[in-house]
Amino acid sequence: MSHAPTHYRLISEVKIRRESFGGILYKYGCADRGALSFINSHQLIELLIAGQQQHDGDVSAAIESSRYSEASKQKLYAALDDLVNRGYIHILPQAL
Amino acid sequence: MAEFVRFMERPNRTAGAKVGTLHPLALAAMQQTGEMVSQSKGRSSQRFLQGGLSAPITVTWEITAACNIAYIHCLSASGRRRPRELNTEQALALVDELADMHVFQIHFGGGEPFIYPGIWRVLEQCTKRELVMCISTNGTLITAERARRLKMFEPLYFQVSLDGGTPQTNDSIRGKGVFNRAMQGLELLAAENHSLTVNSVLTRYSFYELDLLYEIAASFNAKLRVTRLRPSGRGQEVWADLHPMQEQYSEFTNWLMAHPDVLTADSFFHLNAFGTRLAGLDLCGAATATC
Repeated sequence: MSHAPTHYRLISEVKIRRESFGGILYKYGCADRGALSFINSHQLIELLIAGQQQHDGDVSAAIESSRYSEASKQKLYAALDDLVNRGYIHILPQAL
Repeated sequence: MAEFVRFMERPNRTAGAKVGTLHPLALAAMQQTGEMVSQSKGRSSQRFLQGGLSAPITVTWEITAACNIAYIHCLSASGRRRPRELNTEQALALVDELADMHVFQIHFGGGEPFIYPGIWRVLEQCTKRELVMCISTNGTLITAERARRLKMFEPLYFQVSLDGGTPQTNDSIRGKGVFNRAMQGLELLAAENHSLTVNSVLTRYSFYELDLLYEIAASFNAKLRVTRLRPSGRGQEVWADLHPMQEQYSEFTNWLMAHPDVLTADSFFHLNAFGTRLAGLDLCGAATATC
């Protein structure tokens, strides 16, 4: 499985905080548009923070600029797919 | 919606990774209450569930008790400023402290937040520190100039109170003329495209105007939030006269089912006592129940 054709980008309303168990994601918004998730993966939280702070929200770029093994990358992309479904990340077509 | 803890993989504690630790105030509170929990014991799920978070997600801040109206069920019995309220410099320091703790959001209430003399500086500081802001207001102090000025601050959300869909019902609870002034405040905020929620406390009188309230909120492109009357503050004094009757709660349950976009946060847990579990009504509204 390859994720190369897409960019995973954090939506701008997502806030991230490290916690002892990993971290939390908070998507702010009026009324029912808010969301909160608890993530117990330090690796995923650090990746999301790196994407937000160093790559203008581009989490794919954060993955590709790091030295993850191919297996780790696939796990992380699978986790990002889950976060897409939960509304924290959107997918942009890769620029050619 | 808030989710339960998700375990995506075992924690990978890499060297140098910054891990959230309990804020000293949280530690002090745990020590005072005798509920100190070691964060080093147990599996990761137990540590999370027992140790809590390093800081709140949302802080609700009654920034002043001063209020220009004195509605009869105010749960904080607001009206006059309290003598030990924070001055502006102290309030600004608190904003910084909350930001340093990585609190995500502050929900300003009161009292009426727009009476607080330092509110503009506080909002400005929240914006600088990238804190999400929600303001619960009675809407009566919103002017065109203020509605425009408030666009400088973001992200900012408003919750404007109406306790009836007509002046007669609303003003019998919130005071003479308040309905029209709150409606004007909503119009001014909506004209500047602020994000709005109309907040309404369910009483045995406003119950009959739920459809009207729903229409009013929609007319401002706002969601309606219905919350429960609480026997607290002045609410204690009027509880017997205002609390909805059991048959009204039954009908209200049906009304909510027919209006799934109406927000309730966790206000109506107790409706499950009627035997029907309502999707969303039996969930905790922590962190998602504001604005």
